[in-house]
Amino acid sequence: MTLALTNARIVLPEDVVDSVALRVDGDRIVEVADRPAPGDTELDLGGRWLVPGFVDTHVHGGGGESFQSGEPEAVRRAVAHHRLRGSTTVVASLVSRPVGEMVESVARLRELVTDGVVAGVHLEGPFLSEGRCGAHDPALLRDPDPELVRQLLDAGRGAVRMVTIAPERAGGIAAVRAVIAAGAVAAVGHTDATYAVAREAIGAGATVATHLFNAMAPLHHREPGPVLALLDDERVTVELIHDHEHLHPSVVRHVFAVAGGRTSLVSDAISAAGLSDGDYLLGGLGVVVRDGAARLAEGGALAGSTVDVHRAFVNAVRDGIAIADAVASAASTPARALGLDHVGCLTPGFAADVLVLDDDLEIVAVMKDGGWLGDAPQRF
Amino acid sequence: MTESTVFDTPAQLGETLAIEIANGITAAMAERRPYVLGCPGGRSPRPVYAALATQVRLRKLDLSRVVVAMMDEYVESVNGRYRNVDPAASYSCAGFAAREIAGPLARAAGPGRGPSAVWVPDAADPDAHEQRLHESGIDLFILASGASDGHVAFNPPGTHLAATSRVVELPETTRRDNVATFPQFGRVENVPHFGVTVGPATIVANSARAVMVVHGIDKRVTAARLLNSTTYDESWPATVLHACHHPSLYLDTTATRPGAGPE
Ligand SMILES: [Zn+2]
Repeated sequence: MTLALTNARIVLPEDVVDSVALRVDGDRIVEVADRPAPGDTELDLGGRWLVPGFVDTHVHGGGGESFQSGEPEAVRRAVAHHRLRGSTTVVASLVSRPVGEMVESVARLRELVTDGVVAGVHLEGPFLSEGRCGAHDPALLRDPDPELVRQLLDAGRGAVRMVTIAPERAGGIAAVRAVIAAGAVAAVGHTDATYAVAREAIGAGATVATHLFNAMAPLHHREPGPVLALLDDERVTVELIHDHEHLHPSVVRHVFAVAGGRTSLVSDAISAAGLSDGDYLLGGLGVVVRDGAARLAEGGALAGSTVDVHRAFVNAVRDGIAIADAVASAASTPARALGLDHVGCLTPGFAADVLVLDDDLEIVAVMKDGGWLGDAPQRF
Repeated sequence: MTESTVFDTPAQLGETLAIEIANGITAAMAERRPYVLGCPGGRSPRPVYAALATQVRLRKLDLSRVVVAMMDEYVESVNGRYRNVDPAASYSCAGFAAREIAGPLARAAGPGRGPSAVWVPDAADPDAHEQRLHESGIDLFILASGASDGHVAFNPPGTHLAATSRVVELPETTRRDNVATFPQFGRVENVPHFGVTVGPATIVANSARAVMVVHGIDKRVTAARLLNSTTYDESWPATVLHACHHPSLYLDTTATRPGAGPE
């Protein structure tokens, strides 16, 4: 049976259209047609927005649960939290822990990747700069010894989609190459790299900037550092945490202006995402959440966010990003950056992951793989 | 130099300009100052107004410091005295402002958050319009050009760059263009013979920014005239754009595609 979603402002890859039918059969989008086909079940969306389900490629947890242990029930609950908030595809990010422990987490998460609960694993560490550790325990950071890199990648058997590396560490450039050789994406982040070293990492194949600006040397006119190297290069997708805590809206507007087609909105959400203010644990470190901002109990550094990609998307639109560009940065761009096929676009053949948004862009309904999450909307 | 940008569709053109206006309104609200938007009636700016209403809704903009400043209005001569046409008339610019600009914006913004005022020049006292625009300044003037004679507002070909707000007699060409804009006129005889309008100097002297919006097949001639000029040319008043501060020319692919256009 084919479901036809009609009477919506549909954000397609190239255009926003308001007089077509999005036809869904099983777990796939089968057609963007002028009208429903005979026999289709039609669902009139009452003029609401219809956008692809969002893709969060940098998220540590949510709803009180963390991805860190890889414990299946915890992971499923964190994923459910983000799916209901519009991120229908989630890549589990792990902060720096002892390598042995991370290997075990990756091995557990591998099963959940196979089951389609998470789309992959992002190792945000432990090969990061102590000077730019953010919420990572500096005592656990280390040089990317080839053997350790291999152990972590092997444990995933393809489940590790991305590894963040500070390329200035001893063996950093070789590690970028090793990650790519294993079929994963190398990201530059938590780094004190110079402009030249960041360029070298990109030359070696790094294609993602882990939360650009945050936890890296700031842009300086004589030493532009990693920020300009990453922002300037057409091969690099830049992650932004747009929670109105990590970045000034003008910075976000500027990044969209110069790198709009390769800007990806990530949540960098911690387990406290969606919970009230209080004390939480992130990778063994105490985190205090107050007024929605998560900071380390010691030192006060920003320790990830408490938002979701949908909130970052709404912030972007409110800050003046065109809606189609904001949607792309929350869906197709992160999907493409991590090689996640068939998600992030309202295109025939893609997963039927869609969000229905009201006039204020708040989420009305979420469809994942052709099925509505929560109560199936009967009418709008 | 006037920068020009060609958009795939009028909707994309409208969204880009609407986002800029919305950014300006946001900044004005933060600085607690008014935001004056210079507006034409007619077909050209419609995608901008539609997109602006969407922006207002999506971004929850408060428009209570926004002034919609219209550029012109039709005028009739009664017993030798000029007076604005009835705003209820379907072709009235004041009516257009209420129906297609301020009304939708007010609905998008919500109760108590709509535009604070709509300013329309008054044939009985054109100087008053000139004076208030001089005092407030215009944050951004949306401009549009007549298809066949390049009139801007109701300034006909031959208008001096120094002209300010005043009552003008509308030439045949402008009145013919306006039958296309307001089909309800039916025939050119029904188009009023006079208009009250801002002058080129009103636009140039008071606008911090000006964006000329040109789209559609019937605008190919004016697109070409604007693209092939760099200064004000009295024979094509829309070229006033080049004299403005921070001017931009926004076109769509239809208006710029070479080939058989109306000549
Ligand atoms: Zn981080």
